Amino acid sequence: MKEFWNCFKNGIIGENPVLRLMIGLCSVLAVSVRLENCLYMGAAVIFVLTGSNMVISAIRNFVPNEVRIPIFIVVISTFTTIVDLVMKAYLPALSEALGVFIPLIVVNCIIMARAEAFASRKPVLLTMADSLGMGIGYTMVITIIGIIRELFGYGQFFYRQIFPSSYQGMMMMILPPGAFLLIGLCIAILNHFYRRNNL
Amino acid sequence: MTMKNTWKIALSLTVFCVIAAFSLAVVNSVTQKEIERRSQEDLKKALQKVAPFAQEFQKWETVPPVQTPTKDFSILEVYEALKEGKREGLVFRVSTTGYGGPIILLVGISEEGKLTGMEVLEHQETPGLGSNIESDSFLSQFLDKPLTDPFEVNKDIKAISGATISTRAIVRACQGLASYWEEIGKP
Amino acid sequence: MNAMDLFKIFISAAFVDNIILARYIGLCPYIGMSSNVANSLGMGMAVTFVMVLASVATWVLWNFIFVPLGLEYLQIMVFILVIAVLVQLLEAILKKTVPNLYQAMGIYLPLITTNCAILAVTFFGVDYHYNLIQVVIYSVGVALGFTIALLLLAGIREKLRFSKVPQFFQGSPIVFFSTCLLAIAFMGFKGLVK
Repeated sequence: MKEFWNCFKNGIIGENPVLRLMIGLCSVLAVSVRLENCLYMGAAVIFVLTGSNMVISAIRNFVPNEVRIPIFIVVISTFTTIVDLVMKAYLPALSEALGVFIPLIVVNCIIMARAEAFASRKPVLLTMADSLGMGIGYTMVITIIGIIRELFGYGQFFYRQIFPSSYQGMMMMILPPGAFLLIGLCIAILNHFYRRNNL
Repeated sequence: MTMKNTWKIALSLTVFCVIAAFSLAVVNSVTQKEIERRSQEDLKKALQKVAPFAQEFQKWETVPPVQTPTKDFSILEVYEALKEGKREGLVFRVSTTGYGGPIILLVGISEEGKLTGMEVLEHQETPGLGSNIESDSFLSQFLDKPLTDPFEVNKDIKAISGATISTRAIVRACQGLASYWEEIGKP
Repeated sequence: MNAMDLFKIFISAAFVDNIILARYIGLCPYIGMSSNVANSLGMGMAVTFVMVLASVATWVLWNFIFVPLGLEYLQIMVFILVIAVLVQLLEAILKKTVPNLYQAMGIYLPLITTNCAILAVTFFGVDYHYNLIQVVIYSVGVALGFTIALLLLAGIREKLRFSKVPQFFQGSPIVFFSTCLLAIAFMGFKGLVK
């Protein structure tokens, strides 16, 4: 049980994929202009990450080592396509807003990295804990950035006006430069925290 | 040994690909219908919004070609807005070039040549500035204007501050439609 | 189709819609491979090579096989597999025929399979309904934009090594701040192509 918990926690704090390993950044920056987009993006990533890594872990003994990467890619792209098709059918507005970043989950480095480093070696349940941890770690970062960008960019929270309506909106937060600035700040603050506690 | 190994590799790859493709085919068969139904519904909703007077819409197959093309403006599709089987107006799906790329608009025009509504379907304008072309406060100033209006920025159309080019793109679409309207012999 | 339209596609792909600084795609290699200019040049070359080949290959497959057969839902899987196969082939061919080039960009090739910029360009090439010539021009443009962004950041990072960065911003934060400034500079290209 302890082991599961550690695997789970690892993705959220110890090796947070976005802030510590700095992978899977593209979608974090691209879709985080609205909080709603972030939550759905997080859900999509958690689904693909957990689903494909559990399958990879389950089939790990039947996969010849030479072709393991192509087979991983096939599994991951199957799950990504499922998410893409389901979103197009039942959440068309979101599918439009997230655009190419849903199909791009297939090359999200987090998933491939976890498949190689973890899922292809460990049993299914441990893999599930690890994937969920990583997925939630990703979702947390994207949510925090989404809240800040929506609040300062539009003066809103979940499309609800928070700042007085005379607030003009901070253009920079919605545009690419603001995204880069914000992720830099997040990493700096986290690094500072780690340095302080000598972690 | 190596020969056997090659077979094993090929076989496993094939098996996994077939399973993956099959499961996707199943998912696709379910979602495909839903996607088609939704896009039909969305189109109908948007058409209804720009031409509220109509009861049903029909794609106009025999659209007369444009004689004098306007720069950076093109007509993609035309729908006939029908009320009790009679044509009461037209809805144009048009493309015009804005700041960040093409803007796709749906414009409803009544039979007597008045704008009855306008919807932005797609655009890539700057968020926060040009993206305000979608806002009701901007689009509502076009409502009920006859096509004979001059459509000039800062005269009869108030520009979005900081997004003159996006405003001009919409205005250009109106001008283009007006000249086309005249061409096909509408008043 | 005239030369001016192609030029517009090229400029907007390389500068206005710069794949990294305006569309946030391909950030992993951008952050990972920009520590020095030589590395980033090698990476840029490898990406250019694979990007153009991949977009042509996927364009042909898409328009002549998948659309006629109604297999659009296999897009993601097929495109990523095409890129993976292409990278493997290229690696093998370069190793045998042009060892010099292989040494220059060989080590970057395996990293490219999961480079989102390449997959994204193959998607866009199909999405925008480009014809074959336009796809080639578009992918060359995107690759050039990618290489320029990579080189600019690498240049900055080489200089950064000699400057005193406050401890709070050391490491990757300062890289992102530099990227932020580059992104502001690239915003100046917006509205260039009309």
